[in-house]
Amino acid sequence: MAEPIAAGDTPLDELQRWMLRVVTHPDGLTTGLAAARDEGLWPAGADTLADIVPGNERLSPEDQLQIYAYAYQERLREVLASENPTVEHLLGADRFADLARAFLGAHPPHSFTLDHLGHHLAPWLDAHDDPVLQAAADMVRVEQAMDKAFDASPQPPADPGALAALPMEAWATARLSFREGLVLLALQHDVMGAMTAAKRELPAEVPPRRPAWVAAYARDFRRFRMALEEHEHRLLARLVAGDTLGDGLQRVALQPTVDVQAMMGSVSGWFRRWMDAGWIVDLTIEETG
Amino acid sequence: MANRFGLPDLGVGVGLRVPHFGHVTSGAELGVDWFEIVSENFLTTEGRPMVVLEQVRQDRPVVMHGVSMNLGSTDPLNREHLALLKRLADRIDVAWMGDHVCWTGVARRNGHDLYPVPYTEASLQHMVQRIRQAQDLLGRVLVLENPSTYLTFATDQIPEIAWIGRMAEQADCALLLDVNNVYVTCRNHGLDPAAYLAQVPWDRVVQIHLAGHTDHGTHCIDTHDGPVCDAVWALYAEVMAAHGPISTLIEWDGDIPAFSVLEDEVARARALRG
Repeated sequence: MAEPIAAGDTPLDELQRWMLRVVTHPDGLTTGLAAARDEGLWPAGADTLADIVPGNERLSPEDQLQIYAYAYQERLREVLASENPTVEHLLGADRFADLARAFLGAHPPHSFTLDHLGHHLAPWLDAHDDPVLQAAADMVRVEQAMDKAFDASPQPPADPGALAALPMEAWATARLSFREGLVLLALQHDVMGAMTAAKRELPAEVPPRRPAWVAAYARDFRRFRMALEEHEHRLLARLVAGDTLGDGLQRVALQPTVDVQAMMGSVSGWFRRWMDAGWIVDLTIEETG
Repeated sequence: MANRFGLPDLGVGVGLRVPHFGHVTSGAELGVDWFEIVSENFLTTEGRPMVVLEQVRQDRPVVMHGVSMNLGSTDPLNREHLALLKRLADRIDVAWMGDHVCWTGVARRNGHDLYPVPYTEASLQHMVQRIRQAQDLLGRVLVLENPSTYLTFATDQIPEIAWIGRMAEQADCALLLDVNNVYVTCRNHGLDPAAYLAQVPWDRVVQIHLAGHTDHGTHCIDTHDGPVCDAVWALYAEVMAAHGPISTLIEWDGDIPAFSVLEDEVARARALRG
């Protein structure tokens, strides 16, 4: 098997490093051309741009390179926007495009797949001293969770009849299995209203800063998000981690803020919601003794 | 005309795209013969995209068409990427797999675009060596597509299609002839599409691409966001009359319409295949 060809300092390598720098500069082609000179990336032997890219009678060298420069920013902005439509709605198309350009400057793509393009977007937005962008970071988290849910392996939900037939005394040792794509989020902003407004193309609203809990999932080739109550989220997280229902309830009940009686009154309603959403895919009974 | 690789004529297919996942798995009758996937969209998922792919594969051939093999780059080949491609190809039992005559990144940065290779003797030898290396790693012949280009380099020494022909012969790879790309590139560089097509080594062409583009007057961009234009259909008809039938794919990646619109384009291509 042949060894990989080393990059080396061939003219082809010079040309490619120059072109990539020029057409992907976050501040545009003109700045990219200047940066390539300043950074010593200009191909040896080329005095002017026309010595590298001659252009033609209809398009100058700058015009031709601009096609690639525009395509880079536009393609990647489109990917970020398509993955985060509610964030684009919140910020507006122009501000979103500016932020996408700045984000790509800070986190240029390295992977062969665009799936990872927005991987650092939420923490990058969080780092801004801007409450709107920090709220947007939580919206990104929900969007990415829904994408993750969509990419997870689909599983048929458990038979509701089998769950209903389970004797009451068996529930404490019941261990539930949840669908792979169920993603639970604990957020600093209550994003649900803003995301629904975006979905319905209503005027944008900034998510209020208050704790919120969300589940992301997919069903029938559609992505969903659902607001959870705080203790519902805690219990779900325990059950997803593998606790039996009895152990999970006990652990959540130990939380100082829990009104145990109220929580127990809510559990059956939570179960109905989880069943209706198709999150529970299996149930086993832990052997005791 | 049979290709020298013995790869079959699959008829006319379309790209498998997310907006059509529900329809193509609904059990509805589909007026297409085969599907092409963008390889990279299926490399990092075990979820719904893979389930859909495996389901459509039960009924129709699938071809893998990649965008990130980066064959023209001076970076080392990405062996992780190639290993994932090989695993997917084996899993789906694809009819064939390929990528583009281009580079997509360098210095471990990816521009996610199909950047033009300078058509020089040196870059030709570089590309040939890379294709051979990739084919060895994948254990398959690669089917490589002529690009749409928007610039030329001052160092270019060889006309594009002559360069590609020599590349294919020396690397012993197959070709995907994108007729829309021929039209776009020829418009952008003042070339004659008929002369371009006359130099194609047709015994190496196993697949045709047809797609829409955007005409800006001074130049064309390969946008894949609309129907195939009449001029490209005319070129396709000439190709089919002289060299057909050849497996043909309708590409539509932006403003993706209802599946029935693609089926109409497929029907038009079928009629021209004779």
